[in-house]
Amino acid sequence: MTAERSQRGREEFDRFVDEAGPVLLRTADLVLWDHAAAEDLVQECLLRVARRWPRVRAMDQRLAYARRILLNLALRDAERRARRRGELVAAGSTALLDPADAGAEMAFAAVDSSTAFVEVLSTLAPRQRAVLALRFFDDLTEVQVAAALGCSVGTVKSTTARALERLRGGPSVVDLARARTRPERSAS
Amino acid sequence: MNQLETDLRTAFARRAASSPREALDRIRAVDYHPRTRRLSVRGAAGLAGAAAAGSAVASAVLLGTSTPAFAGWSPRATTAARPPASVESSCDSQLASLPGAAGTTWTPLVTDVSGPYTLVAYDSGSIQALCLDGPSLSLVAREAGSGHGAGGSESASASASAGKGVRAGGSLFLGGAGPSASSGLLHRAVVSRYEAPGDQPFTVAAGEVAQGVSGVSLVRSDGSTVTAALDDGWFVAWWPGTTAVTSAQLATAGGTVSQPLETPAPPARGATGASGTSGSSGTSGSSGTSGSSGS
Repeated sequence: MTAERSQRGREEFDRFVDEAGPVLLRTADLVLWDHAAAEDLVQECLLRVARRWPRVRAMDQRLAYARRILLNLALRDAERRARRRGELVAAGSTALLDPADAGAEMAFAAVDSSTAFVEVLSTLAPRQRAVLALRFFDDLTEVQVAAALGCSVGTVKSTTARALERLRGGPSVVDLARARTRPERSAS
Repeated sequence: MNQLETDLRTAFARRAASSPREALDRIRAVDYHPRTRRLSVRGAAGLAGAAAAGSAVASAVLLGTSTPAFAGWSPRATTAARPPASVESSCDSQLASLPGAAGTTWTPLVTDVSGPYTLVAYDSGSIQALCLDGPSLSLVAREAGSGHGAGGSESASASASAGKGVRAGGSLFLGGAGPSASSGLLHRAVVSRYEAPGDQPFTVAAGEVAQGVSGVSLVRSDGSTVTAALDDGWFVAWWPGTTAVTSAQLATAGGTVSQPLETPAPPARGATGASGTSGSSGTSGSSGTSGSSGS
């Protein structure tokens, strides 16, 4: 009897992984902006859900519960990840200091304004991206976003406003790129 | 919906579409179901009185994974002031699930962070425990808690014996060794070996050094060293594989002192029985294995 129940629980959990996996992976990637880290995060999240599955399986909002674990993990470790990424960038920054490479980088950025938009999006804080992704991609209400992030609705509103403000300034990156690449073209 | 929101949705959709398809396959391929085993081992897990020569208790949740084994581990771990809240919570619940541990309050002694893995040594006031937490891996082990001297006198710690191999379900415990009780700077050290499914063995070392020791590095039989996390005289370290420890290098104000250690080779796999009770009993850990300071 117990074995049957255990087997049924496993099957239910496997179904949950099938259903929730894509959603969690997408959310993780939009928050972290890093495919590999997102994959690791989803695995970590599902491990935690699995440990509590007997309790979780009885919930109506299993996905919301898993998403909250995912976001907690993502935002808790965001600072550490950012620091590590900063160290990696610093370690490999010599090439970027090469004026020719910098010019090529800027010229490339000027080709497509959507690239610049995505660039700015990628520089937002993970918490800001989390709010935007939940609001404008998953179409959650502000109340639902607040519940997912464990914060107040006011915080969701202010974080959204600040993030959108940053994005509004985004296209200037393109202008900057054009401004920087123009003298080189005229020189040649 | 304004243009900015439309751009935002487009950018998110584009990003979501760029996620590698294999990522989902890998996520689905992982076996997330915890297989909890309470393994009896001898002299393997305790720190301070490991001593006891009595049994230790380990609960291992060793999960299969399709990701590379122990990715992110580094031989130069960092010492954290205390474990991350999530790790502490996970370890607390696992420690509480061990037999006879209900109601015990565990205090972190030293925390070793290596990539995504966190190894913590805990103290309850009378017994010690270890907890290793990381992606696809979670293990907690503590000494049985009877028959040892609190604080671990030298004679008590000298009686630690080698563990025995225990196979339990899909998890294999290779065995533990309590190699060193010594005078000098290294008061005691315990080395335990485990194996996660998929031929992924790993080794955990823990112990206590004298006050004044500012660094502990463990020299392995292949010549490589692993830097242990050290906090207030307690140290922990772990590494993938079963490479034995041959000595400990202890940094002091007066210089570095090397202290030899001997750990028995892991028991042959054939010696581990499906019943979980077979395996050879220890041969080391007597006072004869005590390392002497300096070399």
